[in-house]
Amino acid sequence: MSKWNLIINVGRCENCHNCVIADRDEHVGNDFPGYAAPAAAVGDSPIRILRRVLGTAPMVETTYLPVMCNHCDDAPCMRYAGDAIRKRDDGIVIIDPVKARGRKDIVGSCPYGAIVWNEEHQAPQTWTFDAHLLDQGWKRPRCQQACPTGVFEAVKLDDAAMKQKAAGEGLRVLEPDLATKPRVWYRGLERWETCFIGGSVSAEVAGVVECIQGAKVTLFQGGNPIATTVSDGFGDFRFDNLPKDGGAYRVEVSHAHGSARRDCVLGESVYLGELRLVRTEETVKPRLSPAMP
Amino acid sequence: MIATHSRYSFHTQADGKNSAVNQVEDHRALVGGHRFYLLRLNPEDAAARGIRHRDLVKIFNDRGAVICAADISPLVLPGVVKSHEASAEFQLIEVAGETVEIGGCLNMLTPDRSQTRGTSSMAPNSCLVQVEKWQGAEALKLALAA
Repeated sequence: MSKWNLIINVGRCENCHNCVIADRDEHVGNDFPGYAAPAAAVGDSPIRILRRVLGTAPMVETTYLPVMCNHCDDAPCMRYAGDAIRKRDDGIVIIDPVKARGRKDIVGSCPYGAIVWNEEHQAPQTWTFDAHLLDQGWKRPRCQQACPTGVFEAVKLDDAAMKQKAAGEGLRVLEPDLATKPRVWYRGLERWETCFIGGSVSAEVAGVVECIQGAKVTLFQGGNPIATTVSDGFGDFRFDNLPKDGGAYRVEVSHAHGSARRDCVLGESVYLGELRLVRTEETVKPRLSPAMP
Repeated sequence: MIATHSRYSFHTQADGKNSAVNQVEDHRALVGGHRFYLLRLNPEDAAARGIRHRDLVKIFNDRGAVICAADISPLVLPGVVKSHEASAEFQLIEVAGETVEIGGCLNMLTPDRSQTRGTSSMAPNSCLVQVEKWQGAEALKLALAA
């Protein structure tokens, strides 16, 4: 039995909100009996976009993460709400617009906060995967149709094939510890979860401060080298995929123009700023001893 | 302050007027029942002024004062704040003896003279401002709730 899954490409979203607007366009004022009551024109959207900003200027990076109903296979909302919420054979979770009427209590049952309350229709509502369109032969939901940067990828596969695809492509779900078995998968989630340490290498060359390309940069943790990289044409270097709250690190830079080093403690990402190379003692011409008085 | 073209509306089109765009939290943030324009400011500037994310802030100069919701982010440098021109709302109100604009009309703060003498070249994109946590926020929330 093939079932619907949604893959979200993290890092492609640039917060344009077309998915949010398209979802509202589809559902606000439109009744789809058996699927969903008309959505509210105001208030919380069933699709939300979260923001994470790493580093500081000029080395700053923003990641946007679209979140919505995960259509979990072991859905906490279903366990809570009884027959007011059902799972279709194709994996999609539907909050029954009639049976769930007035059940504001259902909103709190989702650990992902994906259920919004529609005051006018007294209905708890989610992103429905646009099941009413899929049933008419659509191959994708409105959010995917409207996205200009290819964030969303709806795929219909049986569970074994999806599991294999997820393992092969490094797809992961949000909050796996909740063990809800989400059907919304994220590609490149490390961009949302990990940190970087970066900096810019410079040196004084013939009286002018220049960006230094090609400096060898080594990252140490607990005295051990764990990664190396080389500075680019702007003198910038960056170590990615470091765990949040990673503790103490040291960065050492070496180049024909000299060396530099810096210690830092990683909570969230760190931009070390400018690392000015200085000649090490061995390379500096020994000074003459001061004359005795 | 730089006040660029707006991200989600096209000039005044689709801003205000109960549009779906108006519901986008990164376009207008809902604070105390009113949708405020956002002002992006650096974490250092915010900390120095005791401003937290989504606090109401007063942006002012000799031309006037506009209230926005704070969007704290390193995406702007210290000393710079960023918002959008082209608010479709203009709501001057008096709160606690002070007249402020809460629609998000940042054009109140930018100069109305031309960029070059003898030309029609408006300059609504930047000006000098000061920013502070707005002391009238609680009074306004009470007034809106009433």
